[in-house]
Amino acid sequence: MLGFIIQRVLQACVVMLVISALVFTGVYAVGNPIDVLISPDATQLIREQTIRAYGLDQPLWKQYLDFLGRLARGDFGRSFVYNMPVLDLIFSRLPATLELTLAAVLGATALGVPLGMYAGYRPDSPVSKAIMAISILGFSVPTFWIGLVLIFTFAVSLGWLPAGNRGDTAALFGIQWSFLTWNGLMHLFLPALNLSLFKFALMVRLARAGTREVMLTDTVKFARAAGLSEGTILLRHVLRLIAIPIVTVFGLEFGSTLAFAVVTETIFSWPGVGKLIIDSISTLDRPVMVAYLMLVAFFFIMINLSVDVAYAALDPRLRTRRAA
Amino acid sequence: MTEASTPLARFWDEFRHNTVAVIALGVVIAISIMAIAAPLISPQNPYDLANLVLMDARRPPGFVGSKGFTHWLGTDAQGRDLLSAILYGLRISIQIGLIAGAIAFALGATLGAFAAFFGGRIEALIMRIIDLQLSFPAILLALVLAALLGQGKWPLIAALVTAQYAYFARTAHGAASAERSKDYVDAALSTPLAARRVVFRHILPNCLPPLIVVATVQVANSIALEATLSFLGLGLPVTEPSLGMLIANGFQYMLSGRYWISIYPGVALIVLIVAINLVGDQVRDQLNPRLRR
Amino acid sequence: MSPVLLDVNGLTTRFATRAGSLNAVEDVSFTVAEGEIVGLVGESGSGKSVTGFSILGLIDPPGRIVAGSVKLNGRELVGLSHAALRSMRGREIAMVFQDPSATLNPVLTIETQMRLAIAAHESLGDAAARARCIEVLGAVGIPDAARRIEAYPHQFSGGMRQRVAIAIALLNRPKLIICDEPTTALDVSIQAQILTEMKSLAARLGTAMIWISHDLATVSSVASRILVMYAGRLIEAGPIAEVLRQPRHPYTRGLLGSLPGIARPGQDLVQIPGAMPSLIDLPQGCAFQPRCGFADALCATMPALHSEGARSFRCHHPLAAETAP
Repeated sequence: MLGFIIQRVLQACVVMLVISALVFTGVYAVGNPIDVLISPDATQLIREQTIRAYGLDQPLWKQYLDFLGRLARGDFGRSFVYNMPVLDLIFSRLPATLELTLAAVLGATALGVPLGMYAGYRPDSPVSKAIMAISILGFSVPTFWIGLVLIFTFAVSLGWLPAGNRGDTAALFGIQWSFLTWNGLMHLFLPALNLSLFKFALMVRLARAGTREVMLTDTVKFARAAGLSEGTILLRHVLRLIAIPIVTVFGLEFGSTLAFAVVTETIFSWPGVGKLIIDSISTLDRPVMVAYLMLVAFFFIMINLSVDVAYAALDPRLRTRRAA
Repeated sequence: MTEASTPLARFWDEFRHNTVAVIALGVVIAISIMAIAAPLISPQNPYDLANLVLMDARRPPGFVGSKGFTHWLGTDAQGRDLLSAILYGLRISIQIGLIAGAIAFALGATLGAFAAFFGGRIEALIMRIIDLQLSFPAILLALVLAALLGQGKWPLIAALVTAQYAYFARTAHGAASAERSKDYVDAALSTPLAARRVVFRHILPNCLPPLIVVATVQVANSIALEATLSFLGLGLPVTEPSLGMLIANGFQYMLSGRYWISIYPGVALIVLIVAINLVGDQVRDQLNPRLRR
Repeated sequence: MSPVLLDVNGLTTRFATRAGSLNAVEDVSFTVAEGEIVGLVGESGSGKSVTGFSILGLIDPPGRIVAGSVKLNGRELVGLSHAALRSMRGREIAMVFQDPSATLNPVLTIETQMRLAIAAHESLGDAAARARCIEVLGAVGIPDAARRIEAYPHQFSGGMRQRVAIAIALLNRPKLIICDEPTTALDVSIQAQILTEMKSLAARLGTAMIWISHDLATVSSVASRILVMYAGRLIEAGPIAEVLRQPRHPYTRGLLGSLPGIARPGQDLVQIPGAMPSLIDLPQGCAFQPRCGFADALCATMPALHSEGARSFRCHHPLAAETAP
C-alpha cells in the first residue's frame, strides 16, 4: 500500500510540473501582459522600467525558470491589479469558497444518496418518479439559471433571505468562517443550495442506478434466501457496493464543484476564489490566473490521489493487485 | 409473434413504450425544427442592428413595437424582439452543442480506441495526457481557453471540444481494451487488414453503446457549458446573442421586476436541456446490459 | 419411510411479460421426505429454477404464484406474510446458487457475510457467532478456518467459494437445502469433490436437498429420486436407478440417449430434434409433441400425471418397460 502511495505521489509531481509549464505558457505567451499594468499614454521609459521590473523582457523559457524558482520559494508573484502577493490574495479568499463548497457537497451527498437508494429500490413508485424528476432538473438546468431563480424567489419576491454577499464571520483555528454565525448561515444558505443542486442530482442518479443494478444481482438474491431483512440488505450489502462508484464520483465532482463555485460566486457576489478568477480573467491579471490554475490543479491531483486510496480501501480486490 | 429484425428497430420498439421519453424526443425535434427555421419564422432578425429601435427596449410581452408587429415575449435591453432572439439563440445553442459534441466524440473515440489498440508506450502516453486533462474541471478549462482564444464561434467550439474529448477518449479506451482481448480481433488481425481498418470497422462499432451513453450526457453538457460561458461574458460576441448572454443581460432587470428578459430565454434553455436529458436517460437505460428487462 | 417434509401440490407460477403471460411452472406436484435428496432435472427454461424460487417465495414481480400450495411440515407457505417468509428462509429452507463469485459480496469478509446470515435469525454474542462460523466452515472442508474467516471472497478458489456458500446455507441448520446448479460453474475435478462432500454432509446432518441441474450425470451421483421437468411441467418422476434404467417418457429417454457416455466412439451423438418451445407459444396439449417420435392426435390433449407405484409420468404413449437405451 505504501509503495502504491509513493508511486502516485511521484506521478503527481510530474503532472504538476507539466501543468505548470502548460499554464505558464498559455497565460503568459498569449497577448501582451504589459498592457494591463500601465496606461496607454505612459512614456516609453516607464514602459521599459516596468517591463524590466516584472521580467517581461526575458525569453519565455527564462521567464518560466524564474517562475519555477519563485514558486519553490512560495512566491507566486504579485497581482497586477491588486498589487499584493498573489498567494496572500488567494488565501484570503479561500475560506469563503471552501465553506461554500463543503456545505454544498455535504448537503448534496447526505440528502442525495438516501433518496437515490430509495428511488433505485422502488423504481416504479410515484415518490421515486418525483425524485427522479427533480434530479433531472437539478442535473440539466445550468447553475447560473437556478441561482437567478433562487434570488428572484427568495430574495426579491419573498424577501426571506439576503440576495448576496457573505454574512458575519467568526474565527475558528485563526480563520474567519461565516457558518459559525446565524447571519452568516442566512447568507450561506442560498448560494450553497444553488451550488449543491447539480451534485445532489448526480448523487441521486448515481445511487439510483447503482441500487437498481445491485438489487438484480445474485448477491441480493442469496442474501434474501438466507433470510436477511430488506433493510439489512440495503445497508450492509447495497450501500457498501455502490459506495465505490459514488466515492469516485464524489471526489471528482468535489473538484468540479469547487470550479463551478465560480458561477455561484459571481451571481451571489460571494467573495471567494471563484469570483477572483473571473475578475482576473476579464482584467487579464496573469499572476493570479497562473496561481489559481496551479492551485486548482494541485488540489485536483490531491483529490484524485485520495480517491484512489479510498477506492483501494473500499474494494479489497484492488489491494492485492496494486501491491504486486 | 415475430420479433423486430434490426437492433435499431428493436431499440425503437422498446423506446416508444416510455411515454415521457417519446414526448421529450418530440420536444427536441420540435425545437430543432424551430431553430433551423429561425430565419424564416421569427418576426425580426436580432443580429441586424438596423432593426433595433432603442425606444422599444425593455417592453413587456404583448407590446406592439414601432415596426408594427407584436413582441409576443417582450423586448430586451437593446430593443431586440425577445421571441426572435430566443429562436436564434436556440439555433446557436443547438448548433454549437452538436458540432462540439460531434467533434469531441470523433476525436476522443478515435484517440481512445487507437490507444487501446496499440498498447504499450503509446497507450501509456496518450492515457496519461487524458488523465491529466480529466483532472481539470471542464468548466475551468473552457473558461481559460475561451478567455485566451477570444470571442467567436470557433474559439468557443474549440474550448468546448478540448473540455470534452477526454471523456470520450477515456470511455473508448476502456471499451476498446475490453474488445481488444477478444478473439474476433485476433481473427481480423490474422487477415491482411490494415490496423486502421480493424479499429474502425471492427473494434469501434462494438464500443458504441458506452460511447453513445457519454454522448447523450455531453451534448446536453455542451449546451449548458456554452450558456454558462456566455453568461459569464466569454464565448460569443454581443452581436450574436446566445441564450446565456440574453439571460446575463437581463439579470440586472430582474431585480426591478422586468423579469421577462431573463426568464423566457432561461425557460427555453431549460426545456431544451431537460428534453435532451430525458431522451438520453431512456437511451442509457436501454443500452445498459446490467439491467435485465 | 421418512415423514414428508415438503409437500408441493399443483404449483403454478406465472410471469407477465410485455410479449404475453407465461406459466414458467405449471401444475407441479411432488414431495420431499426428511433427509431425502431429490434431483430436479430439465433443460434451460424448463422451470426448474423457478420451482426452487417459488418454494422459497422469492419470485419477484412481474412473476407470482397463481395457484397451488407448498407445505413445509404441514405449514402452508404460499400466501405467508413477508415477515413469516423471511424468518423461514435460511432457517428452515436454505438455498445455494450456481456461481459463488456472484452470490458472495466481494467487498465484505466471509465472517461479516456469515454473521449477517446468523443475525437475521438469532442474536448470538460475538464470540458464539464467530465460533459457529468457524465450526461450519470446518465442516464443509475449509482448512484453517479460524484464519480464513477474515479473508475476502476473491482470495478463495472457485471450489472454496462454493463451500463457503454452502456453509452459509448450513449456518442455521435448515431442514431443506435447495441447490440450484451448485457445481455447474466449477472445475470437473472439484465438482466430484463437492458432490461427495455434500452427500455425506446431508446424510450426517439429516438435511433434505432438492438438487436442481441440467446435468443428469451429477444428479444421478447424488440424488435418490429424480424429477424431470419440461416446459414448466413435471413429466416424469421416480427412484433414480429405475428412471435411468427404464425411462417411461420419450423426453427422458432422449435426454439419456444424448449423454456422451452412452455413445460409442466414432458414433454420432444422439440429439433430440428441435428445441424446447417458447413458453409464450406452447402447442395445444403435450408440449413435447413437435419433437416426439410417438406423437399422434391424442397428444393434443394434455396428458395427466399417471402413477405406477413409485414411478409417475405424463404421457399418452409412455415407453414400455422393456425399451431400455
